[in-house]
Amino acid sequence: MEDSELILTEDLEKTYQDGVEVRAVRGIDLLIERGEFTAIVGPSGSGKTTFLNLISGLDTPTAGRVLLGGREIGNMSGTELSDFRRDHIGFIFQAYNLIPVLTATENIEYVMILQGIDRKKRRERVMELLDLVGLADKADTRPTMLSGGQKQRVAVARAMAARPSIILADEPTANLDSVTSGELLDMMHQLNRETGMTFIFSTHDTLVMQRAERLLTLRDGKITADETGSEKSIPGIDGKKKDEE
Amino acid sequence: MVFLKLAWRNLFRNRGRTLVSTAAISIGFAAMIFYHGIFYGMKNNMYRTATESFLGDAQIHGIGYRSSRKVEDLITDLPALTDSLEAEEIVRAYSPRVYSYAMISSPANVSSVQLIGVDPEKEKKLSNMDENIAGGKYISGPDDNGLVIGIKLAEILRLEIGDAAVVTVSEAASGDLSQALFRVSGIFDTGDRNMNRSVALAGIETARGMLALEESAHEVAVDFTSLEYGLSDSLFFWDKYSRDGNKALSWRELAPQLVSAFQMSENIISFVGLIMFVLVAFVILNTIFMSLYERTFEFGVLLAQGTRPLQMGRIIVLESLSLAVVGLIAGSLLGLLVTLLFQNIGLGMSGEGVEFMNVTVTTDIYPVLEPEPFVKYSIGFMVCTFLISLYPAFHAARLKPARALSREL
Ligand SMILES: Nc1ncnc2c1ncn2[C@@H]1O[C@H](COP(=O)(O)OP(=O)(O)OP(=O)(O)O)[C@@H](O)[C@H]1O
Ligand SMILES: [Mg+2]
Repeated sequence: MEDSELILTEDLEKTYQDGVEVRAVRGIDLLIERGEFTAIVGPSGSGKTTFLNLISGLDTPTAGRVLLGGREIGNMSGTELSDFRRDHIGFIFQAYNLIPVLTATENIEYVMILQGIDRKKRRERVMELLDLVGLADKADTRPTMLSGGQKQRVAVARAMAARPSIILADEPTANLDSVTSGELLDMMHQLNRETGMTFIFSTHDTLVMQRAERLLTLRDGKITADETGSEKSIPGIDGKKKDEE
Repeated sequence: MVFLKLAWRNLFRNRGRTLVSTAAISIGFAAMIFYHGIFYGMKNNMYRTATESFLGDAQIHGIGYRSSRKVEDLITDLPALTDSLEAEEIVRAYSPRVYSYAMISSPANVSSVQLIGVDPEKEKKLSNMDENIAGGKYISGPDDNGLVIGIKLAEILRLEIGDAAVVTVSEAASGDLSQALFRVSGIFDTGDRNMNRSVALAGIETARGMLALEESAHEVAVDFTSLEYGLSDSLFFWDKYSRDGNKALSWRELAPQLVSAFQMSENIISFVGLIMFVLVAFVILNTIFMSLYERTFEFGVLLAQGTRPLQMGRIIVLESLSLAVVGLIAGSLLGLLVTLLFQNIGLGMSGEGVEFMNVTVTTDIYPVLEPEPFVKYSIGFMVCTFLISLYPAFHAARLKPARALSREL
């Protein structure tokens, strides 16, 4: 995936059919380039999670297509898609990110085991990543013994383990206090600049919106605003966190 | 292997549930081991009762005697045969016997019987007729003139110890009738109804005299040093003593109905075992499904990270097998313990004993401890578990990542 056009969606749609019909994503055309640090905002139910799931192949669109580095993921088999995610996409979720029965090290190295990387190389990479997120001393700790912020740092390290081109984070700071959130964001932003990895967040957190270089606003499954740099208009910029819906 | 690690550690996550499942599995497994032990203990008991009461582990006859039952179908060269048996390492005891159909009459009644002439010294080492004397005494020597009859026969003929009875047989060569007057010197009571009803024992020389026979016999019963020899088809003994007009048969061939009855029971326990395994495997199925539902989000995370569908299935299969292994180890220990315990104290046969194939067993049962059921049932159980785990594995392999992730805890 050398192209600078990293993620391209064409007329992307997702309609859920569980009893009632919900049109969660209604025709999104979007281009995300390599190295972006982008946040997707919008009220609850606007389709942020659905959109992230679609562009990472966790879910299949009802219509339209997704191209990742020029490859259409809709044409991939289950195994191909698994391997594609393993090699190219890192995930950070809101919470319960880590596998509780595995230590920090084991959580981080899991994806490398899937890739068939040998133990020595894996352990080197894990140490490097733990250093990067400032948790070298927690290598053998299980998630239950880590604080919320520490858990998310491990999750960031884990998402980066396979050196993916994209890291998708669905409300990564939702369960963290603002100080911890700020630290986590600083860290991710630095990693973004140093490694060129693309970060895409969904968020309700104004802190995230402030740090993001590009801000996409979703409303009822459509992109209603796409702002970069100084032109960003951030709801609730007065410093208080926006109310959780 | 990371999948095994995941499976194994998840097992110890919900300790309570794992404990309950393990208890169910291990009790089921231990029950099978114990049941097996009792069954084989009973079988050995039965075989021993059958072979020790009169049958012996093997018998040698003249060819044709078993089908004709004619007095003249004798063993070829008895002295040479007994010399040879005397030298056999695996032969613990042997006893020549003379048989004839006879008519026995008392003042009260008449009955047909099987007159068997035995050499008491030899016979004592082989059968336990001498231990089953209910009144009077056993035959005292080859030319003892007394008659030892079954308890049922004594009842029919209304004979008591010391009473006289007339025995009529036909002589070997001429077929002429020959009669002799006996005194009842003993009454036996074995567990075998047929014997109690229709056998009369006499000294072997006395019987030969009545039948006009030289030093010969219709049957030589043989007792091996181990029950196992009687179960072995490949033993050279059978060939060696099936020559020159004689035929050697193992007790299995002599009492095939006993063997086939046990064969059937064996099939029944295999079937019961299978049902038990399926039930126990369902315990595993339930446990795995519960754990799968609880961890749906976690599976979503594994899927998002690029775990392939087949690998998801493998995690489930491994988790099921891990649970089975823990259950098996606990069950084996429990089964071992219970079997050992009852091996020491024995299982009492209450009251009259148990009758099986005309043989009444009154001795206690001691469960047999063999490696075989441990191996056999473990393999069977693992296979069952594997097959059953394919169902939740299939379920896990088909999980949609987005769906799994939308299930928050
Ligand atoms: N599996 C599903 N089945 C049916 N409807 C769904 C499903 N997942 C989401 N929806 C619906 O689709 C719409 C978009 O949901 P989505 O989770 O993408 O919103 P969101 O922007 O991530 O919201 P939030 O900020 O609360 O996380 C909502 O109306 C939601 O109820
Ligand atoms: Mg969401």
